[in-house]
Amino acid sequence: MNVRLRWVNSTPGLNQLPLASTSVEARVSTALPWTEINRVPVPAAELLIENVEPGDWIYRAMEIDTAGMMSARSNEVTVNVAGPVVNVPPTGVGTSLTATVEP
Amino acid sequence: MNALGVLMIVTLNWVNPTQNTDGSALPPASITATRVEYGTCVGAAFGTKAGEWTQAGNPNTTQSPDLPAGTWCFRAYSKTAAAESLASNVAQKLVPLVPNPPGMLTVQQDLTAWSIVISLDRVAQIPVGTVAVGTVCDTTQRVGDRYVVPRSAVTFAGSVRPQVVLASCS
Repeated sequence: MNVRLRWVNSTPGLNQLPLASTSVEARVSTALPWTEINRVPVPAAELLIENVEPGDWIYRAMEIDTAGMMSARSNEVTVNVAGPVVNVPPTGVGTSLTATVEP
Repeated sequence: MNALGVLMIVTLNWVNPTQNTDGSALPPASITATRVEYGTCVGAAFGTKAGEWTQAGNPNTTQSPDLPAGTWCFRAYSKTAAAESLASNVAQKLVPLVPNPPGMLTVQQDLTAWSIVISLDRVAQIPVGTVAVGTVCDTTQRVGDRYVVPRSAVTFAGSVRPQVVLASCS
């Protein structure tokens, strides 16, 4: 499964430098540290993560200006990536089987 | 030389003759082949012939068959349609013994288990849990400075349980 992250880049104010990129971080548990998985150049505002392993992933992003200064962190989004569909046998007719005698 | 298992290929170069032994001109196209003998060495001299091969045409380079470790001597003969030259000088090459890789590479200090994340133009490694100390690493599968370890040795911190898990090994 793939995961596509999208965000809205901010517009720099008068005392802010132009944006350079967006740092995207991920982790798989709150007990583990964040890891930067990519740095997306502005003006792009999405990132496709391919062949994501099943389970819960947590993502966040930060903007980086042309001087390398980083913004505050974005909200965190949790994505549950489903595992592959496993086909199981049919349920069966159970005890619904009956017989009647017909003339 | 190109490594091929414990065998190696030796590349030989030479300068083709431009004259016959009587001083007359020998056009390059007159050289039909170069025969190369290889064998043992006695000091810097050619010892016992072990084999030969022929390089057709008039190039000035050729490659040996796969040769096992040892010191090999080579000599070459220029051939025309009519005759073969005397032997060239002797070239010598050491084909070194190649040691086996180290065994029993295990996880010892950094016990973090890592998974691979691919996005756009980048591959990143992200922690997914911990590996039991002493876990034996798969030395045939390496990504950067980490090796594949068995999933059964990993304690996953979240619900992500990747098929391939990496760890630092020493």
